[in-house]
Amino acid sequence: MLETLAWVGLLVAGSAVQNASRAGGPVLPQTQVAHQEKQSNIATTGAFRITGRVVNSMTNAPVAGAYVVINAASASNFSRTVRAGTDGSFAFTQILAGRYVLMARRKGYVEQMFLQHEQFTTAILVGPSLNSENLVFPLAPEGVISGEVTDEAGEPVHSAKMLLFREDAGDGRHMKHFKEEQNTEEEGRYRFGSLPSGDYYLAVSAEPWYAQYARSNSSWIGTSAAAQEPEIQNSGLDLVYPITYYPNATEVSGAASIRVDAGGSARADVRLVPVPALRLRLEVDKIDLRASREILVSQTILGTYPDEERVSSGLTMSTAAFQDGEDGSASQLSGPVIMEVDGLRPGLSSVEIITGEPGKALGSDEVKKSVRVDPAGGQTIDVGGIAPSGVVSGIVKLEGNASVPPGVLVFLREESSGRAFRQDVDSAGNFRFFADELEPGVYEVSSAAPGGLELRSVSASGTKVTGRKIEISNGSDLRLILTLARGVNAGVKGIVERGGKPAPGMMVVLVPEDLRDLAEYRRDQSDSDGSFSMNLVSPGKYTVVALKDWDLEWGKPEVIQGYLAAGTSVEVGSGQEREIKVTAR
Amino acid sequence: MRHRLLHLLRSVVWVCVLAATSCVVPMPAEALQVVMSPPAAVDKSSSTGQYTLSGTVVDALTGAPVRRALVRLVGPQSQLVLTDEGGKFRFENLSRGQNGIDAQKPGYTDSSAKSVTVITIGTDTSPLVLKLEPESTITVKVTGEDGDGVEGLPVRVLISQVQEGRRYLRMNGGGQTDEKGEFRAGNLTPGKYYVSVGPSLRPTGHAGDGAHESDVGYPRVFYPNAAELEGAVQVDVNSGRRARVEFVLSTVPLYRISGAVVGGTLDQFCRPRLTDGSGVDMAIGVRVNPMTGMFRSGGIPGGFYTLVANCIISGENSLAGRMPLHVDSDLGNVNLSVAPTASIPVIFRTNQSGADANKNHFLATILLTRKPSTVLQHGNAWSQWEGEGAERRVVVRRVEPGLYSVDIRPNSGWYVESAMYGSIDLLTEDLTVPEGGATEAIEIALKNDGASVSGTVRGRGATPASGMVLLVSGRAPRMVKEAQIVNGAFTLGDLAPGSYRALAIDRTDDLEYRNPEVLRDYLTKAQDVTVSSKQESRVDLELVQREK
Repeated sequence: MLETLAWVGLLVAGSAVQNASRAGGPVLPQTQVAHQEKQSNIATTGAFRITGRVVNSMTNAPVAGAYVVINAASASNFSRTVRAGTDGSFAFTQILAGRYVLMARRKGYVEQMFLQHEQFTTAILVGPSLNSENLVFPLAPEGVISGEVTDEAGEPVHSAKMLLFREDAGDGRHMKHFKEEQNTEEEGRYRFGSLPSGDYYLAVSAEPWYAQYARSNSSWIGTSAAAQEPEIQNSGLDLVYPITYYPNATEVSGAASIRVDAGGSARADVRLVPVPALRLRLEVDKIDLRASREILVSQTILGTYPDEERVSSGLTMSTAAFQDGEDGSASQLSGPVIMEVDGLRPGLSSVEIITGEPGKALGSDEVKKSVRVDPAGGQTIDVGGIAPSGVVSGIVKLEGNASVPPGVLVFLREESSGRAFRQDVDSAGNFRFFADELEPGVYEVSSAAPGGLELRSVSASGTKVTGRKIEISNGSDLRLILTLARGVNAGVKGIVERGGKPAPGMMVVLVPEDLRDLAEYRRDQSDSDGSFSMNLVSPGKYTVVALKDWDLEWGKPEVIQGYLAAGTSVEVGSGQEREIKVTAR
Repeated sequence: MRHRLLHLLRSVVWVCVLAATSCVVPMPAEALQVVMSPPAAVDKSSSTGQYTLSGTVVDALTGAPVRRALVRLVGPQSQLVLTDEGGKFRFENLSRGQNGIDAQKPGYTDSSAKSVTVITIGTDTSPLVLKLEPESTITVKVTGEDGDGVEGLPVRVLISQVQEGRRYLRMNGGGQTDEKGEFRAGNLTPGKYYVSVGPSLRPTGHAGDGAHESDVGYPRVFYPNAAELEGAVQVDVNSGRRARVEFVLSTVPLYRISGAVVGGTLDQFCRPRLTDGSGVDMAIGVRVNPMTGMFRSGGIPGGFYTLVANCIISGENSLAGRMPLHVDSDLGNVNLSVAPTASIPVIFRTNQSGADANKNHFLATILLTRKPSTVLQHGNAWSQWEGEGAERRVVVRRVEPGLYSVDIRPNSGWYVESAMYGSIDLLTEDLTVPEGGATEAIEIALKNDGASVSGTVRGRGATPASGMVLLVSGRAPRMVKEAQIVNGAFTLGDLAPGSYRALAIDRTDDLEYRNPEVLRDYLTKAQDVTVSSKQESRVDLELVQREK
């Protein structure tokens, strides 16, 4: 089964109110629908048991003292933790019939669910005539990547941001995904532990510690005449480290993978070599005293991670207005005003200029301009010449004009890259994306909503709509209307069999008729009784296949094609749920 | 560019609304620095002089030279250089005159924040020796009941500090123990630190006999073995000291709570959090169902807590609530009611009108401190001026109901003549903020005909090199004015007419002089001074030596 809502959510210590993010980061669409919680006071003791042994996945030796957790897969809050004995054995007794997700952890091992693949696990069914005993829970010893970051003088670089990427086929084809980040400690060391085996890539984003003193630390603003000579002392220390990939490559083509086997450790030291920092000038045609401006410069690392380099505050903006105005009451500036951003790294960067009302949260009133530039030439960018970024905004409506409940999310997912973006919907049903974050392309619109509400239809002005797909091009505004209703999507569930017996742990793939339509694929892992279940399936024709190989690039039509003949065909209509039998290959 | 930058701030006032103590909102001076420093950084004449300045940077503890330290000339002349392999540096082409200089390097305490050494550049400038204080660290080691290091346990390092006469408890580092059960908090300035570990982010096991079942895990413990801040022992960290503290923990039952946030219309995410008796956030995760307002949490050691919620509804309004919670078993149906927070209009009136009133635009900063002062929670709000001329208006939003002390800091050139909330005199009384919606306005009258007091300070036999003069108003004892003693003299301006107690103290770095209880003992040694409007008064003071 797909497990995304386990107790892991509890770990997010939440002291702050969660802001609606302005730049929705990549997320998994459609899977994290928050379920309605039920307060249940039903009895939690029953007559059944889950027993087994935790073993080292490499050596089969028992893992003594492992913590084993079971979570009921139903809405109830039932969870229990036990510690495995010296022989790795564990037993949960007096439990109710039901479906349980198992999880185990032990120092030195990767914390994982039972037979976990990506975010899928084989859940254990407990009840009369179901076998939930004598399980063997293989726990993979952790992989470790550690090392040291040093600077041009061989001294440790502290607070360097270490970005770890892992290559997997989770999106249907092998891709590098951002996994986690951490900062080097004072002695320049870092350590990524608890890594599953795989191929990793490491990128370092850091700044020479002394460089911040060598520049103004603020965008420099003046009229064009005054901007000819920046009044910054050239100390030779205004330096930056380019994004550096292991092993010491400053171009992504030089990045090498770091192979980590289960229980293995790899050492990856990086030495950073500074280059002169670059500046970029922005020519602002007129100053609006009431506007605050924010400039963000970012570079995208390995195609996914946006690394923000430089932010200039909004406050400084208004200073330019007083350059020429004698009494400070007016903002009459003849000629253009130049803003300068310094401390930039070489390489293709995205520059965003956001103008909003001071004192208001950047949001509804802001205007954003965006341009991609390699600042190497010290060029001046005419901001006035850039069209404001298009805005993909819209409204969510309910069939029958009922009011939109809180908690509705809207997702946009780019078809070819699989990158997804998310926005919260406000109480009036409105949402808003900035189009420049969305590379031009065809996007699948989806929505997650409480109370069984599902996306029925999408309509749009400003672009072409095909089903739930919209086309986003550069610079244009789009307005979407999303209509939600109950019972729109279908469900497909069933049993995977192999040799006439239920086959647990299989990758079940629901393949749409159009093999290239990645958004319509659904996957699951079969549970201990061979059962699987896939929700939020768009009405249509599909083939369901069950595979053993979790590394398969199922998203490539030429790959999945070969498996379809052995699959089971199914057609579902709106609101239907079909039950099928699939034979595993 | 001159001082026209001052105009920049005319349309902005920072208002700091505190549920507690620490205020991160920039004070007027700081706000100005941010704006002014870049353009003013360099004097172009600096490259035309004929003098040189050289020296060595050394480790203050060992005396060894420090390579690749950054040496900065700051002030009229501004240059940067890194020391060579022998710790030496050299600046050339300098002009004659006074200038600031400092040195820094990672691993050493950044002294530039505290003070800058002033030197005189000229023909006979001798080589300098700049000392760097090695930074201090606290290494925490946590051992569990199985004798192994406990991995992934939260660690927090807190420092109790006095700033501007108020005591603050603030986070000075934190994280989780590593695979060896260790955590290192670096870059600490010398001082006294509280260290806490736990609670476990998730259960380490399960205990029970069927009738009473619970998860178990490690509790939150302050060093050496206290459940609350009260009872904790501070870890004394001297310059360059590497302190090490060890915890040996046993597991305790962990409980779950569930319930709902009730009241108002919850169309926004609202996540309650648990704080302990001192107001320190327990950093225990709480899951909320945004559709229903239902929350649940687990992994809570038994104890007395406060459940707090601040729910922002829209840009301007919010709901807030808090309730005490005694956890000694799993708790269901915990209902935390939230009520609308208040929006408090603040009206500033000055005795001037027209053009003159615009001279000093940044009229005042207002600070609301929630009582009883707990720790480490703050929110701030800022607002734009509304109104023109002699009457300006701001609205402080999202103020949680409760009791607040109000501190008003006018810009240079102004003093507070009166501050009223209805019939309550905020210069002497606390402000009770009621639940919900708009309240009465705080009316603050500012005047610019303040008096000044200056004078000399005599120490025991000699002119004191440092210290502070405090002026406590007879009418508003909570409005303490302070000035540094420089070369045995002091000046304090912008004083409201009236009588004051004047006091010179040798050390105030750890003195809560804004706490009347603390100051009372010293005031017996103070001297009376009374001033009238625009009067320039003189008073000579005897330095009070505090016990070390």
